[in-house]
Amino acid sequence: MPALKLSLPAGLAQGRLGQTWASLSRVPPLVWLSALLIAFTLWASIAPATLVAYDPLETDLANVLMPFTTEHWLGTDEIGRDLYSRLVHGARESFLIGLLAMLVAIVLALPLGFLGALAPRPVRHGVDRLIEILLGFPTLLVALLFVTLLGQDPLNVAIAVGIGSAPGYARLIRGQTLLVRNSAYVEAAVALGHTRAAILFRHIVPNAIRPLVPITGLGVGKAIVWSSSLSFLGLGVKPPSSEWGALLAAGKGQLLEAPWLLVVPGTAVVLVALSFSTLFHYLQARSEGA
Amino acid sequence: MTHERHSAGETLFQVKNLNVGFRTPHGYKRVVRDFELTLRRGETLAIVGESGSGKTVATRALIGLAGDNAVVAADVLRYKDTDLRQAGRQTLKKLRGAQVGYVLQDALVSLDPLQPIRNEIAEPLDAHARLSKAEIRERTIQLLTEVGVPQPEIRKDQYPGELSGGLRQRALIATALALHPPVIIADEPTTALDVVVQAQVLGVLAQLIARGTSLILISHDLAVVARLADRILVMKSGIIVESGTRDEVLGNPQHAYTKALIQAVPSGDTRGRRLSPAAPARIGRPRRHGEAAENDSATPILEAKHLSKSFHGPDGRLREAVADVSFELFKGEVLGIVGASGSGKSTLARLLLALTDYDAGAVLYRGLEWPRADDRTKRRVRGKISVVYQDPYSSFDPRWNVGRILEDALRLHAEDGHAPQRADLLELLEAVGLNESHLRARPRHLSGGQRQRVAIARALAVHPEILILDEAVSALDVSIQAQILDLLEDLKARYSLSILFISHDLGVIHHIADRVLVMKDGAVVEEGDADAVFHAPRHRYTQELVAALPHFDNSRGAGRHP
Amino acid sequence: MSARQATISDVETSGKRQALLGAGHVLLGKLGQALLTLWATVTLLFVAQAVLPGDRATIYLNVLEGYSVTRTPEELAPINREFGFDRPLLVQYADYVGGVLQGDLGTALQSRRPVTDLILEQIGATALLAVSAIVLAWLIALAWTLATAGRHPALSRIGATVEALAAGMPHYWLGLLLLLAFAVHLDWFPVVGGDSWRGLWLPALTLAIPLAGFLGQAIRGEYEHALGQPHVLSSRARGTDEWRVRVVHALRPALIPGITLTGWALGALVSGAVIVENVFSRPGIGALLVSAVELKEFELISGIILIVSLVYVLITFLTDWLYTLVDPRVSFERKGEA
Repeated sequence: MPALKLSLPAGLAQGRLGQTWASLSRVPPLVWLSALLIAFTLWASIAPATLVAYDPLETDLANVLMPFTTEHWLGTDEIGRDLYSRLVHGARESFLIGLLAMLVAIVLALPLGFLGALAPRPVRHGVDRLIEILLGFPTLLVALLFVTLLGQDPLNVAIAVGIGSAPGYARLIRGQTLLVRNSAYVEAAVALGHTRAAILFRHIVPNAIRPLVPITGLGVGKAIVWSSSLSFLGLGVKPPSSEWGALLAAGKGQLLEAPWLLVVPGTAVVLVALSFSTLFHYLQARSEGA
Repeated sequence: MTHERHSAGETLFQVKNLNVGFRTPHGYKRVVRDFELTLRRGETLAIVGESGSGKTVATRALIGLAGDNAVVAADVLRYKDTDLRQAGRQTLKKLRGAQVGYVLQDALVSLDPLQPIRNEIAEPLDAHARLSKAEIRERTIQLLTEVGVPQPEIRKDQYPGELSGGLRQRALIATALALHPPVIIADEPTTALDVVVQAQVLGVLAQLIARGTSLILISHDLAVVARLADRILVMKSGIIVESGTRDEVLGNPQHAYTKALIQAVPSGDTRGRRLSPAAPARIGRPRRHGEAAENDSATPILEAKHLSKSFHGPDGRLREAVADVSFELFKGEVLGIVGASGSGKSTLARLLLALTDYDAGAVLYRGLEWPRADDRTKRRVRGKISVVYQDPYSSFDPRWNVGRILEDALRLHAEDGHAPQRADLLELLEAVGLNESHLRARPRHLSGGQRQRVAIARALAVHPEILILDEAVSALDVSIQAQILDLLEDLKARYSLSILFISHDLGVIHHIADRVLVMKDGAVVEEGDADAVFHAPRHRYTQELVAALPHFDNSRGAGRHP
Repeated sequence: MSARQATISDVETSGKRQALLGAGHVLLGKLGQALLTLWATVTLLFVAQAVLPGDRATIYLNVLEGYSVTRTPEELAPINREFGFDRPLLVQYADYVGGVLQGDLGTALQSRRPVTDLILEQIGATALLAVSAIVLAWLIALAWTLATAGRHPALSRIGATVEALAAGMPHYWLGLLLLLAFAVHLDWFPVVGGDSWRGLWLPALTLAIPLAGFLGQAIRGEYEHALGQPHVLSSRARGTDEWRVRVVHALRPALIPGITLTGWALGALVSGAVIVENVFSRPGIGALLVSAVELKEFELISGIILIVSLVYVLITFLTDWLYTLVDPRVSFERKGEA
């Protein structure tokens, strides 16, 4: 094996770097913008205090229910808390809930998807039917059921959303795994005389989980939307928190007097979700195409 | 008739300095340059060239269908008196269907699968003539009869998926014929058809020619061209490299490319001769030999005994894909298996490779029924029987480069467990005519011929005794096919391989095989020495096949079917 | 020659008859699958109720009295007896299945009314909303695809981007914007929808726009793929009108994934309806569900989920059947060998 590992000639290495640069410069501006927005959200989740002038809980009773002003960029709520500041401080919770929900979904979906594609026939068929049945349960309804069972705190909201969206991912993973299992290159490996285990771990698993990274990325955005939807109904994270869904829930009473209290956090959710889907759609297309 | 003769010689299409290019995300790409063509009434003009030669694009540009992102420029581009360079939508629409009929290859995808064929035939009638429903119905039946579709009253209501390949292709021709246009452009009208069906479609085209229709025939198949064409254009990389009458071009080719193209056509006459101008690959002696030492040409190394396999069709009926097939493959010989699509050839290959289990009979490797043996034995024998498919690309893991693909196969059956050396890899690459620069390439960046070479290299990497080639050259252009066939001859000698060569192409089989099996509907209908089977077929089906084969004699020059 | 062809045609027509029989067989199989799905759904829901953390009787008392405390066995015993919580699980299961078969989904704990009645009272409004949304979504998606797909590359890109944006839009946000713009600001529609016809427009549109984006993405992909197919080129080469080429040869095959997806989208539609009904204060399953979750009314939640999956199974069955109508290939697919 060491005989095969060649160091790249310097010229080639430069060429590679140049190539990387060239391919980066071809990235569409919308994708750049999405990446920027996600970076901002990540920054806000890690060090929110560096981005804001006010404490999210600081009340300013002189400026209650103010719309956009130079002092309060995104307005204030009914007790004068700065909405921008709350939004930035809520990013971490929203983001973590989305990420955790997606992890729960993938952890549940992976075994189902793999079994549905690779297990011996009776098990496979059983799992297939189970996935189909679970797909019949609307995501939000299942999430609601589990929030009811588990109680309304952020962790449980994440778990409930994860459970609710798992069947969709299970079907996706199952489809991808089947595609790989029935591929000509797996058959070629069989014909060469590889063992089943070797084929499973060298061809099927790596190729089946290859699209998972972009799918997970796409899913985080969706999970943020679902969990904020729960909160919007008043059945997710509860208001004292500045999680984005909770901001929505808190603002619901003031729709007519202060619509920005709903529109601003809602827009934040939309922008972040769109950024995730734009960026990871692009990455997915890249990994399939080039 | 006198009218026809009177107008013979009238120029229909005239093209000078036609250039076609495409705007792509990666910039402008010129596909056809300085193309010239003159088509007279009653004449058949053939355009010959390999994929990517621009022959299809050039002809599509004639009727304004080169594509949305195409840039078409010409000094002269004229149909009769109409200048097509400035022609608007309406002019082109009136031209298409009414003046120029267009037949694409492979009617399975060239007819709308969701429409009964009567709708497709009625389409040009609707577009160009005001006819009543009853008239359209009558014309549809008349047209289907004209192209030799039996029971047109029933056929017209069927969907393309319900028709056999031959009927489908004839229905497609009927849609182009609907208004009896003076010109028909036929783009590879017989490609992908089985030889008997191909003969029927050629018959329909010949009838059209006899009735005075001008035909522009695009084909890579010189045998087809030799049978129908008056004049021939040879294209390569977007340029016409040679043009002239049929006898000039085929009988006395001037350009090296034309000569190579003619030389490359495999047939019984080319047996034992190299098809490609390329020198044989520099192949040294193999580094290791494996079990090949126990050479014994008297006993078969692979044997099928009364093999049968049935599948459930989509309708739930049991269909016998392979029926009681027996044969023996001896050391060092090439056994050809020939048959139409659906004759069970590929299923047979899968049974021999133990990729599908058989219902009855046995597959024996050196007397051992290995598909039913334990896993260890099975894996050992798999190393002795390698396979190369028609589509090599899908048989490579998309994550792997060429080096990894070959290393993986080399490592697998290295008996002493030693890791493959770089030298082993390079030797393998050289053996199939590739080199070090291909090691890091990914299959998707290789050409079709190179991919097939990699697939062959992988098959050789496990030191097989038997190579099963399942339509392995069928998707390749004729000159690439010639190179691969030559390569296989070289490798056979060097690695003392026994080869099972499966193909629908009689010429390829006759060129390479020592013995031949002819399959029909899952059963072997004839078996014997290649020359015997092709020159003196005994079974009716084989006779039909051989008779349908448009003969192309490239030993002396041009040849025409008697 | 003609004799041979006659036999070929005989074989083919009898093949078709067989295929039709096969299609009937397939349909019967699908029916069996649908029933199996429903049974499994009932079972899953029962299991969820029976093993849920927390004693059902305790939850009931807490809901009834409005505060959470630990209950003594003496307090719980009458409740357990009344609802049969103390019987063996298998008996409860048999009872539950039997009830479901007779349309009895249990009793709502707080209102003490049959769950079936509560759902039936509300389902009409939600069904009306969902059906209007589906119709609107199809109209929007078809018009949008025909207008933007397969034309100038820039126009196609814009079309696809708008579809992606629409598909990713949270219902509550879209609903709020529409409400603020058209009901509050322009005052074209009532702010509180109620069950008036005028009040239906905004909720249906809110539900329809993301669905249209979702459908549009699928239709566009197929449509542009079809436009690149040889049979479309063939048709153009016959001098066919461009609109006919597009509608007959490209749009029709593109409808097939759209139909399948409409079945799938039902789940998303129900999820969306819950939120939309909340935004626009419309009556319906959504409002019922939210109050059920607030009160921890598991029987009611399960009942709603059961009804929804019943509808889902029915719709899937229906789309499978619709599929065979649009695509004649389904009945005679894959004749050749593998």
